Amino acid sequence: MLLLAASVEAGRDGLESAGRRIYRNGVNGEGRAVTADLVMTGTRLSGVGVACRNCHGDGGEGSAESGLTAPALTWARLAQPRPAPIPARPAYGDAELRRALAEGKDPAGRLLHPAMPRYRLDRRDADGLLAYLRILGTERDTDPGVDPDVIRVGTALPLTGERAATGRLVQDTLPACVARVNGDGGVFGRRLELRVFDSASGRAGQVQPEVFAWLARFESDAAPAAIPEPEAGRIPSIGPLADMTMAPEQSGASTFALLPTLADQAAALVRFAAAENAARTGSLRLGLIRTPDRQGEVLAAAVLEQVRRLELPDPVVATAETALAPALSSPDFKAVNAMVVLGGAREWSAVSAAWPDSGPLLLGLLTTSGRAVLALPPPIAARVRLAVPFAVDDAAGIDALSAELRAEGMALSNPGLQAAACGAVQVFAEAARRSGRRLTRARLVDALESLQDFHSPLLPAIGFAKGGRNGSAGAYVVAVGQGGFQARSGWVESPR
Amino acid sequence: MTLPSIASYCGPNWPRRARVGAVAAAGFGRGALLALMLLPLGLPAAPERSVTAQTQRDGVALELQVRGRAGADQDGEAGAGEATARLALRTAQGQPLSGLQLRAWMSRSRGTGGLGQEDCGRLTKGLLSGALSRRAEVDLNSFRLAVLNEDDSLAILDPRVSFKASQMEALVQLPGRAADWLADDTEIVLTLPERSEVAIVDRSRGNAVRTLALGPGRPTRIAADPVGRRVWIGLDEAAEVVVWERGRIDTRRRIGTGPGRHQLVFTPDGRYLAVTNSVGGSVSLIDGRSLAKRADVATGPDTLPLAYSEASGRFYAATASGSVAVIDPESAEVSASVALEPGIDALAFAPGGRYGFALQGERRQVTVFDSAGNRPLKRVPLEGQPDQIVFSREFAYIHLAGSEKVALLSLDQLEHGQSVATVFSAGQRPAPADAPGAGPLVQAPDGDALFAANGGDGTIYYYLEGMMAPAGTLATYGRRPRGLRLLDRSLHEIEPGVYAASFQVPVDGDYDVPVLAESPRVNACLRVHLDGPKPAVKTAGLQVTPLFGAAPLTVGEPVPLRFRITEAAGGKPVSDIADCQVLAFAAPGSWQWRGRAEALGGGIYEVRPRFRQPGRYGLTLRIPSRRLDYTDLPRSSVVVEVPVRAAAR
Repeated sequence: MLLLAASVEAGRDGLESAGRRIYRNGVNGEGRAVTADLVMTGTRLSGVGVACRNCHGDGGEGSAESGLTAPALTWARLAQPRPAPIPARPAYGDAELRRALAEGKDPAGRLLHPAMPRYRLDRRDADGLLAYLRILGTERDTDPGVDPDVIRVGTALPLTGERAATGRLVQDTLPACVARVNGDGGVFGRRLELRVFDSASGRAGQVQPEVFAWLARFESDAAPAAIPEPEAGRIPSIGPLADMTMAPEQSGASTFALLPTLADQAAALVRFAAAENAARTGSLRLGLIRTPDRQGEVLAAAVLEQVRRLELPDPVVATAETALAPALSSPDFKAVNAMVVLGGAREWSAVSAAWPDSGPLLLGLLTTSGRAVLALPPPIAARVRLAVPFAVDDAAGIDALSAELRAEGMALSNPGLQAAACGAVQVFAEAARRSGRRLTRARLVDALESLQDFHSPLLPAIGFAKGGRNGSAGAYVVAVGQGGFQARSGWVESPR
Repeated sequence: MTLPSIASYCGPNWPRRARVGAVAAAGFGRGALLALMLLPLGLPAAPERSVTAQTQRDGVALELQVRGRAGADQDGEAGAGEATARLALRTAQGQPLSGLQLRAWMSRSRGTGGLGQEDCGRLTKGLLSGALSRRAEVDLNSFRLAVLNEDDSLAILDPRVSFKASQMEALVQLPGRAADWLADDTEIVLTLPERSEVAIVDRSRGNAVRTLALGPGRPTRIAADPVGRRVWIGLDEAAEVVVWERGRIDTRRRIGTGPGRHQLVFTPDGRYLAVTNSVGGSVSLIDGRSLAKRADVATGPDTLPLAYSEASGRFYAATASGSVAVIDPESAEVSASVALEPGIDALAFAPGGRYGFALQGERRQVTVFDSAGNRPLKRVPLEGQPDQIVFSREFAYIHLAGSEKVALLSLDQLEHGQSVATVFSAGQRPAPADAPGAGPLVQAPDGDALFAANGGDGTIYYYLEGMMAPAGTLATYGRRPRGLRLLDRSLHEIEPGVYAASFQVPVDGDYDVPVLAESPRVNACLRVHLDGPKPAVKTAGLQVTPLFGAAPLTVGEPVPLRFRITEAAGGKPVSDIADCQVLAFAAPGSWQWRGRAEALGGGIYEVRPRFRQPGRYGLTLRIPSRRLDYTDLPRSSVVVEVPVRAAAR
């Protein structure tokens, strides 16, 4: 009996989610587009164009746009008769709903507005849609990944391969952050449950995770996305850890970056240099060295834009595919008072060679520079300033984060990375809290867009504007020393 | 224009209808006469009349229907009554236009024929400016304040500045002290626990009061079904609540709950009603539609304070230990609890329902908690004992019992850091402590302002957000206000695309009805004839002649302005008027000045207003002893200028 009951439950859930797909996306449980006829134009449409939510709203609340009123479709409304004097109609039941969908007639026999499509649904699809209409807009109407007690969030990390060490550190850190959220009472009676996928496995098509949202995904540009998304681009991804060169429009409209892009960090370097130079006479003369690839191009463009905004003289640029040393020893370069190094080991060694003892300030990005910049000899290291996407002198933040991790037996070994991972969890939890008990992806996105000045240990203040996907734009600037990084500035904002 | 009212403190202004059954009660100070109206049931229903008008503009079809009861009193004379305006807006294809923010007025027509588009736009613009000189006779966007006073009287005030002599439209006497009350523009229901009665003030029948004994139990807290048209009252010391359909007290029935004292709260969709039972230590869940009790949920001893959070979809009920039970109405179970300190007097949620506030009087604090995790966030110490909390978009306003102080708490940054309540004083004298249901604070309709009643001062203060002191006051005519409620008389949507409002029918005549909506933008004027009382040509046999010419007056100095009042027939000067008042107002503008005229003898009366700004001003007189109001006599006007300095040489 139990088994039967369970399978009936599962069956009902399956029907409801099939119905939801028709309501939201115009495709049925098997992914086939449903079709409908538009009486007004005599055309037959299919798929997302005839999705009910287009006119009746995500929560069945209805809409009134350009004079076309689509009524509310919640069961509370449908199952109530509508009394006179406005056109009266009896309550909708299952049979009446099927007729409305297929023939466009209400229970009183009146024709619905011609803009309402006449749907060609088979029995099974109609069953699903009816089952979904019963829960539309209620607490039960939640997106995949949300159950009465649980919100399932997922992450994709390299657990094997080249970057496995980093992946595993994040894999061990995330549960501590999640446990903190659950320890605080969860989110309106739901606890977060984390599922971890190996992004390096490259076994595409194998996994259908049904998570409500992605947190702290770490996929390098090299590996293609191993996790296919059932509704591509629909699952929000919050706080991806991979460094983004520029604004993540390409990653899909549902990715919410917490950390500044490399382009924004490079722009912040220019503003930092200009502020440092303000005490001296003469304007800032910048030199720039970059990698000859697309990333180098984009970063150089960001630097140039800031230079022009601040009305500084254009920088001298070196980007030779061949020898850098001759370029750097030219008189133009000898006259610069700050060098922007947009590259890695090769570029840093060329710069070290050009100015071994004294010379201009050397500005770089921690993310692109890599280990090479940490191993420079003292006379050069003293002149280095790096843009980093997190605060190194946030003592209170470090304490808070350490305590959080310690409670779950974890140590704070890589503050920036671990802060970014926990930051993703905290931003998600706050947005979920702002959405209330009736949690859907659409409401989550609205809540994320409403965030302003949200603080998480070590991270810059996070805020998304309506339609914005970058939580912060700027950088902190640090110097490199024996004991690690020393803060040389607070948050330097790069205006967008 | 005098609006008929049950009573006003000027005796002669009573309409005849009210005099029937009026009881002169001595000893109420200032000779004020109050009416205890117990309308006999079975009054012949006056015939309902309706007029309609239609127009089309910019692809929108408007239809106006005015339905009124032409009141007829004992003498058979038509008296002004209440009427309802129904505005239906549809697209040209017949789709109702729902969800509009609509504004409309009725303004006495000047000429014949309807208003063209330009004239309609000009009229609308003038009305929007709110200037005294551009007032419409009927404002369908207005509200009133209902004021419950210490002497158990209930006053209806019109808070707007207008030509009326008094802002008090009505005053009724209740037979006892009210503990809690519901008020809207159709009726006001008050519980009188000491008498085991409920009082109902019928707004559509001239504020007639009737009282009803409810049987055993003390009716104390009251709640309105937000969707259905029902009133629910908790009967303390009886394990029951009583419910009836509004306007149909004969449908009342009692539903069992648990024993003790009760608070009642609805879910916003009206599906569930929760009732706390203090002796039973439980919460009764009642189905708002079928009226059946679903369950009694055991919560803990002395469960009384109750609130509902939209964000979490749960009821919150506080017990004696300070633990707040979180109840899921669907499953009728306690799904969680919030651990707070004992001594909770009331619970409330900020708009949205995420942040909950527990008022703890004895501890002189309010504790804020987050419903997302059901965890306490912080305690905010207060300068007194909190007894009421209301919310605007940005602030929580907390009234401190037995004082003139109101504490303000920003709703921003509740999560982290310190929250400090800033305090402003609504008045100078402390108000007496009172029952929590009285409600001295009420939010003004535009959202960023507040009315605060102070029984100690006998004044109602108007507080604009962003200022540290009240921006204005409302007179209470010698009474001490205990509590306030807002009566919204503005247009509201009753069916898709149909908006209705009630109004007092003005004098008989043709009226232009400008209608304004944004998105889609609609501005159209209809014309309708209203059957009202015929305008009495009121001059009381007097003629008023201004004795100032057209020469401009000087700004800044008090200027003597004289009028001569003579008998219309014969021209003999009338020198014995002791109560002549003059109103000066900016035209256009909203500045006004009122002053008593001094009788100089020989029929000459003088006022000395001081005009602070140059411009054109209107002047009008009022003589209560001759039943002449500001709108009865013709207006005069003056021009005020900045004096031109003579050239130095």
